[in-house]
Amino acid sequence: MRLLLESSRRFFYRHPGQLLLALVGIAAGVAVVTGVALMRDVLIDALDSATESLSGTDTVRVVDPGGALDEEVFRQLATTRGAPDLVPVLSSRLRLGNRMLELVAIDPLSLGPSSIIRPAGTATGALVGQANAAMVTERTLQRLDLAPGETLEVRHFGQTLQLEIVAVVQGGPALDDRIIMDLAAAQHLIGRRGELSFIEAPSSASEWLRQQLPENLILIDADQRRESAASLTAGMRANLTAMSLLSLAVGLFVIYSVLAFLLVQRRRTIGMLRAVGVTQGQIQALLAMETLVLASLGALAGLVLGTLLATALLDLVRQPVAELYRMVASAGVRPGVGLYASVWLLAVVMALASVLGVLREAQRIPPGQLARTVHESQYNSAGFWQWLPWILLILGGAVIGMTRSLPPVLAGLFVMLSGCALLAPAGGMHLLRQAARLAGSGLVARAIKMLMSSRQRLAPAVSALSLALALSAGVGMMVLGFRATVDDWVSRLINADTYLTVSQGTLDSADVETIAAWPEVTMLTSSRQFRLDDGSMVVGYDLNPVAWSGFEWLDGDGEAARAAVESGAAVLVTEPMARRRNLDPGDRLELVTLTGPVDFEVAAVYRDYSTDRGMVAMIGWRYRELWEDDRRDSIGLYLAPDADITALEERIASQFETGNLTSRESVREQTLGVFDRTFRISWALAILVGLIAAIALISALLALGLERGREYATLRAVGLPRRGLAGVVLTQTTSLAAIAVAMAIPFSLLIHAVLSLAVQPRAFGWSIALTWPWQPLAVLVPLALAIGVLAGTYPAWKIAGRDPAPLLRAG
Amino acid sequence: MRLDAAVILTLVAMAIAWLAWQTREPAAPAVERLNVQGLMSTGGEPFRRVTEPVPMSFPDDHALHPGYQYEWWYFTGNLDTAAGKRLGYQFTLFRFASPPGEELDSAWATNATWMANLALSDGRHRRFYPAERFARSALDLAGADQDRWWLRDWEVARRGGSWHLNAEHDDFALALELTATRPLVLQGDAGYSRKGPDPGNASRYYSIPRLATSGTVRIGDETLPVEGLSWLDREWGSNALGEDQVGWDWFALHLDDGRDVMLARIRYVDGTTSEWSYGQLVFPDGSHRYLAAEEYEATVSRWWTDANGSRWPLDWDIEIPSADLDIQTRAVFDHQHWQGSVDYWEGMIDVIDIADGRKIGRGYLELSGYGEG
Amino acid sequence: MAEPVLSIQDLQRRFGTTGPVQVLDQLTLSLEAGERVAVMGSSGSGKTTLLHLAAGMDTPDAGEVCIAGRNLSALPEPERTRFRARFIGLVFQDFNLIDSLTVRENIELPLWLNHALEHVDRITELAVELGIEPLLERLPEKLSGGEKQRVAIARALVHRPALLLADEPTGSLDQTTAEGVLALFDRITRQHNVTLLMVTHNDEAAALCDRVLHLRHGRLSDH
Repeated sequence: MRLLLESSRRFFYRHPGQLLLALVGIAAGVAVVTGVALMRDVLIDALDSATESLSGTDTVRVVDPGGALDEEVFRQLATTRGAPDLVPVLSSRLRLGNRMLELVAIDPLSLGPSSIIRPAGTATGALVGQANAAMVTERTLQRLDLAPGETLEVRHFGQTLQLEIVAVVQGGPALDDRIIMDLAAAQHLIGRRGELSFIEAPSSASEWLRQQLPENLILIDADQRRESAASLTAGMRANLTAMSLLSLAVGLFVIYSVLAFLLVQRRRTIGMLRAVGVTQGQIQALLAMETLVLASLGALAGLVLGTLLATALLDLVRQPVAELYRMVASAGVRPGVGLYASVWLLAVVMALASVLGVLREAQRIPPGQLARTVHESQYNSAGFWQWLPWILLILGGAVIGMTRSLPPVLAGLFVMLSGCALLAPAGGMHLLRQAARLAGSGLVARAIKMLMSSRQRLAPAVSALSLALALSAGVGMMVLGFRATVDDWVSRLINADTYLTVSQGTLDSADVETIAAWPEVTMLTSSRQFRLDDGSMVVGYDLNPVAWSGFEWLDGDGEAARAAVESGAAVLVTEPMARRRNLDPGDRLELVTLTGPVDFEVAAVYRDYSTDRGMVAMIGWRYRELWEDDRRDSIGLYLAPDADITALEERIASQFETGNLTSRESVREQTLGVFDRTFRISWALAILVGLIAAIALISALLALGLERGREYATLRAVGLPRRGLAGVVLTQTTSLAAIAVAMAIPFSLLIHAVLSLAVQPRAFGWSIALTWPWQPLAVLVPLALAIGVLAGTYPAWKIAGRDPAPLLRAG
Repeated sequence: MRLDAAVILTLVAMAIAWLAWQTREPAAPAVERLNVQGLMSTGGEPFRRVTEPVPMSFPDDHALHPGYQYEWWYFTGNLDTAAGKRLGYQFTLFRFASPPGEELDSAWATNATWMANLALSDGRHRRFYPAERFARSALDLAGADQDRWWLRDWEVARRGGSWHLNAEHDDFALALELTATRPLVLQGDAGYSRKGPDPGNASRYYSIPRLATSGTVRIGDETLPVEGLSWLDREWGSNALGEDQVGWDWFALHLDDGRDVMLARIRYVDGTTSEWSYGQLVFPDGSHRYLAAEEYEATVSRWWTDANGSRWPLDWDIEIPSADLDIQTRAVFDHQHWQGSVDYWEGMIDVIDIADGRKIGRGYLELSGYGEG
Repeated sequence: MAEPVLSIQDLQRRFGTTGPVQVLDQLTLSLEAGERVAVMGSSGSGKTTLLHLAAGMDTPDAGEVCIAGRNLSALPEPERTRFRARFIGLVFQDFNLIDSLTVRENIELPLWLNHALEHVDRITELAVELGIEPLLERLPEKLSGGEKQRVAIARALVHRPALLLADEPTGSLDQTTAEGVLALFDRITRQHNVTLLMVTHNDEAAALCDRVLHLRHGRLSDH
């Protein structure tokens, strides 16, 4: 075995390019999986763990489901005999430019002796008693580009706070982008005297707490918190997971195609080894060992790359999570040994599984077969195997069609993609045949015919390539299609000329009346949102007929719904709400209002992308009555045709000190801005998969060139000029790229359709109107062809530039 | 080994090391200790000073004294279980005032920090159980009035003629009733206890030297009925220690003959005894006599080195000619060492007559200023 | 007297840069039309190098190779290749068929390269003569060694080259097959009046030829 290993070591030395490609292929796939896994964990683990890192990991939380917790509860509990260590916490969101920060205000003296903030430490001393003293971790300090002692200017609901960084706390990533303050200072600064967000306690005290707690308060354990954070970001994580698994599949195709090709190259060597008495088992062991070593090293590199990748891309995920779910995730990934080990193992096992076919083929090499050619076993085009890809496609489609939950849809998509992968080589060969026929008898046709003769060898490369290209393009199309849908929706919905909001203070009914009387204004709309416990929203609308026309009805009769809603008896629900609660028009929906539970009829379902938690819309007066809330978040102004904008602005300025007018166009832009930031991560992953595709393509093409060196030399020997040979090589590489692209086009449409019609509704609850954006294909098709040409140019130049004699001799 | 194998192995090792480094847990921050001596020697303007004797009145002076920098309520005691085994305990409330800060619109705004130290010495297994808690002087989380001294759910309440001490921690708890068997003693000059060259280097100090104690002690799941004697020290002031005074050795001894002895040996940086050291001798009838620094001599007879390398004088030879005492004090066991926010040693000791080696009493020893902090 | 088909003058070829090996040294050779010459020599004597130089697939360090009056060495590479395609046929020891093309496509190659596809009927003629007609649509990998060499011979002759270069044409064949192929080779070269330069160390193969030369120390001699 030592000699065998030595032989394969020398082989890789002579072919460092092959070695590198195999390593890069596996590393790229593993990197994406690792990176996404790490980012997913950040979305679940770190969202709510800031206080845990202060008060200990195994905690329960006392909350008031009705809203803020009265601090008197803390006093009561803490002074009751047998009280555990309790930590009172007030948390809120702060804004620093585009960045969302979390204010975590605690009583440092209530922290246990093992907390990272010592109750008797200097940090505590610096924090307590000073109105604007704040503390951050070293990492946050660097991220915010601050030094201790400097002042940080943040916004809190339209109010500007000046915070002085008085100390640096030694905390992990869970405290990233957290501003830690003393409870007294925070209550003072953000005007929330008497209020706590929750009380944190060791979970061992659950029983005691349950006995002591007043009726209206509840206890939430770590699992429940994790679950609710997880469910908030489920859609986003599902998207990421799907992408990462697909990337791994593509990476595995790459390693398979490389290893299969390596076998081909060494067929002669293996034949000779067999001839001198090396057993089949030893040959297989050697190949398995090579795979193991390559996969191990590649996967290791992939773990490193993936960690770097996650670190680099994390902000692409954190930003939308902060904007959409108001949650500040930690800014650093927290890899664990378990995660690393399992990804590594997965990669190695899957690499071994993927080369099983190669091992079987190695078994078939008879001893002493010295011919360099590979016996192309007759493609068995009859029976089961011919139908398998179609069976997989139909099976996957059926799974997707029949289920309402997300994981089976992803599984179905995976099955369909496997079908595609199987279909790609056969389809590609069919295309080549057609192309050869059309090309007649010239150089192109001959080159293509020569290419087709090794279709089995090319199959993995074509599969990998077309899948990777399709995935890139499909995701791109889905995002663009989604964006167009959102644009359409927001353009319909936002139909007032300009919107008034105030950054400090509130708008109320009196303001609405005042504005309605202004001569520049013809009509008004106004709205007020209230967040329910489960994260869904209730919105009270005062709408005019024009604004009503902005709804796009997905279910129910719009006109009848309007009448029912205006009567106060019925509500409208958004599509995610309808899906979550399984609501249809005519169903009843109970809402817990300030004045108790009230039962409503669901009048209609309308299109909405503002929150995937779901939203219930009701008429304004009914909302104000039930929630005793006269405020408005914004007022939409419909201006008279000849309205004097300057005069209007002056009125606003004199009436509302912090009033702000936002035009229809900029509301649209802001909405699309949030959308674009949400999907930047998808773009990044699509580009990564595209890169893997490029690697697969280059690897396949270079392999092609290497494999055919002798053939090319013979062609030169019988008199094919250099340019002719270059033409052959270029034709072959370009047509390989072309068939991969050609097969990728239908696959990408399929992926786009499944993502848009099945994955999005199940992940987020909303459907997307299916459109067919052509831009991703317009980029990828020429790009792949260009790579085809470029990757052919080098071997063409190299092979054609040499005298054929040495290559023939080397045979 | 081949060069290529070496290179690959090195790269692999580097990658694994890098990955392992990524999975590291953030390091625990260094322990920060509260410097009680520091708190007691730096006063500053805003606090009231103790400069001369002022008449005290009870029960008013049991309550906290606002305006002073520090104040404590300090119980120590030796207990016996029904099986005749030794236990010792300490329960202390400290209050440290902070200089007035900004006016904050919050009930959590505070002008003082409270610390409670609770410890149990289990002589049977030579185990020491310490517990420490903090609270701010807000929302009634901690405080002291005439009848009740508390921090969260740890409290001492005065009912009738007795003090009821209740404090629970995870692995141990105390529920004791303490009844004074002799009158309260004003230390120093009518409670004016001078400790340094400046008349302001002083505190207000009174003790109840002998409290008959009974109740229960819980250790783990085991609840033991106990009986014994306790000592209460009450002290408050600002800037009490002189600048070069680093700590003290404090002895509270209950002698079998009915006398109680308190010695407070104040040390300079170089380890020598300050002339401002003092003591008190209390007789069974309640009468008492001030002991000046030159009236007694205490020399270390045994040092103990803790895990950090700090040395603690646990056993002493003490001579008080005017009381006809030539005794040795011995720690019941060594590890009664506090390593919370304050690094000190507080534990039960035996009193032995040097002349005949007989045990003639028990007490508590407090050593401060020897540790790291 | 007619111009010789192949004329080699003072040909020199060295390999290696440090302590170069002088493979061919002032070698001179001339072949008349229709003449069949065998060059014999032990392994490593430079036979194949001579053949590669004669085919213009390698460039000499000194001396010249003229075929049909054209100095091959003076031609730029593309023309040399075109010249080879037009005037030279090659038969290799290990056949060098293009595995990814069928037998017919392999034979067709030279016609295509010479833009002479109008002569495709020659493929069948040759195939009949060489007894490989039933194999025309097969891929070379399915063929036996003898069949492969016959295909190679057809490919070498289909475009009616002025000069046929053969490198140990029976070297990869067993005795019986080799005899068959040689007989065929003999018949067909005579029939087509082919000028042949064959390098071999096989006496039977050499015996087909009009003249047998020996390559020793980089030079040719008659015995």
